[in-house]
Amino acid sequence: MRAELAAILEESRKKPALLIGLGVLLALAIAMPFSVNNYVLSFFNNMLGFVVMATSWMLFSGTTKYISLATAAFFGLGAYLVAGLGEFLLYPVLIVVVGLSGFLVALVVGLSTLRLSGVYFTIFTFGLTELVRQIVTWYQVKVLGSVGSYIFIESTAADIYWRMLILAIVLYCVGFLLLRSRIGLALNAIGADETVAKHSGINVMGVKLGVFALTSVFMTLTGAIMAPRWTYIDPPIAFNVIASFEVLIMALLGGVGRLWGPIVGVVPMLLVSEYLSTRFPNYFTILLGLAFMAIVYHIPGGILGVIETYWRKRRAPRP
Amino acid sequence: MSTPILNVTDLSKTFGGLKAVDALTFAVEQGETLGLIGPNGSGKTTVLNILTAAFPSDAGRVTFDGNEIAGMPAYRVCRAGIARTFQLVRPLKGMSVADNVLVGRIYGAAAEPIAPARKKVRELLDLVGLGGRAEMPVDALTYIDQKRVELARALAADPKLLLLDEWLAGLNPTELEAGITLVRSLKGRGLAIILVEHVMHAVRSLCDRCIVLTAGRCIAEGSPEAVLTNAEVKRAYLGDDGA
Repeated sequence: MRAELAAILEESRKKPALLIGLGVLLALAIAMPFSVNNYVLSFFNNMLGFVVMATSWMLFSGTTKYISLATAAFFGLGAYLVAGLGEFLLYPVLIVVVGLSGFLVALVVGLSTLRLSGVYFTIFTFGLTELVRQIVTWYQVKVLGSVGSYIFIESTAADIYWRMLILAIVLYCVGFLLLRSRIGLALNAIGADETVAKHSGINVMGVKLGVFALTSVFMTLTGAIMAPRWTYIDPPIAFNVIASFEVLIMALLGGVGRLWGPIVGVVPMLLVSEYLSTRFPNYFTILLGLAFMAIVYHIPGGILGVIETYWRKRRAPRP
Repeated sequence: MSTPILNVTDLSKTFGGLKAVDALTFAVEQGETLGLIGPNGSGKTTVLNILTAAFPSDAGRVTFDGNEIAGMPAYRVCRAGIARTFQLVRPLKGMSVADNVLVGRIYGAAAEPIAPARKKVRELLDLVGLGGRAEMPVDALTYIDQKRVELARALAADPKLLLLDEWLAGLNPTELEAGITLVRSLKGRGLAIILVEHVMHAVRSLCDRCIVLTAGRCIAEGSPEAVLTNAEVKRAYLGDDGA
């Protein structure tokens, strides 16, 4: 690990322009809330939320091809934990508790489902969101005698923005190291051919379970950090299955297999869905489905894939 | 005589009503190349699949390098030192040639960290004749070259026992000679090999010893020449008229 870090430092020393660029971008990102109005800031919060979820999704589902639709389940779990525990715990403690809960739930879910292959896993994760939503609804109605929860944490849009920014930066660092490490190689091998991966010495179940749980922590934390945007949440808001699909489409649109893929997909997708959901609210899910099919059939490598192919062709023109 | 690296005792496996492997007993010595031959459906690949824990056997014992390996998950068997290729070539598509081999290197018995493993991968690619194509996507290679990648991936693990499942099948005569030379060069390294093969020319020139399977049972054992002239073996392959 130390040797790898040294290699990364060595590499970054060779690319000062990239380093300065990233630094400037980071400074701009940190200063952003001082220069924009609340509507814009709220859009950026939304964007950061989807960037974190789509990137986390890509790190597991994009590499292993285990297509998960459980994103909304973990997001909702985070939001509800904040609603339930927010008034009792200090914020840093709350975040740790939420992160751990996400990890444990993902371990249990993973242990019971990651032996399923392909479409069965996808269907289960789809059902999982609904299951959790029903359990929370039942608990609220029968035990607490209400249909929703108030969130007693006061956070300004700027607070949420900075927290999400930190989460995004941590995720990018984790993702960068993960994809370069032996685990990253294992993830890709599992995605290519799980049987071969097994017979090549990869503890397939261990890798899948570990990375599924790790990425679920980021999804759960996103729900926790974003929750104070609503002062009141109910299960349909927190466990919105459409969000799972949106995350998946964003990642595919940007391009899976690359760390920067999802972020490229999030921005256009958000702008388009913002427009479509206000203009054609009744047809939104149909249009979402069509967009999904169009991406899978026409640009399976996503926007980054298209750009890469274009560059490769320009650099090496065919005779 | 040295102790065998692999000991298989009374191994059995039934699929539905079909006895794929029936009380099979054999051993492989260190550095020995054992040919596993027999007509289609005689259980050869099933034996390899049990040895690598692709599925469990119904009965029998398998000891490798002194340890019982029945019940181990496949990845542990690989790390213990058994590497394999597949009957139908299975490259890790979407990954580069070098990364395909790298997987075998860092996760196999060698268990090397990434940086030194990359160097070793270069050597192995040179060995199998793919030196210049390390960074190509494996999908872009021809069938024979993908077979080379698979062999390099298996060798990268530093196995003590290599299982080649019809690795020479489907090659043209020139490629076949190159393939035989390549496998023969591995024998010099003290590696034990189980060769499942239909190409009799390859069996004759590579195997130290052969066992012949029919319907999951061993019907003959001995040197390739002795086994291939055995009347019962001829009958198993060609039917009564051919013998």
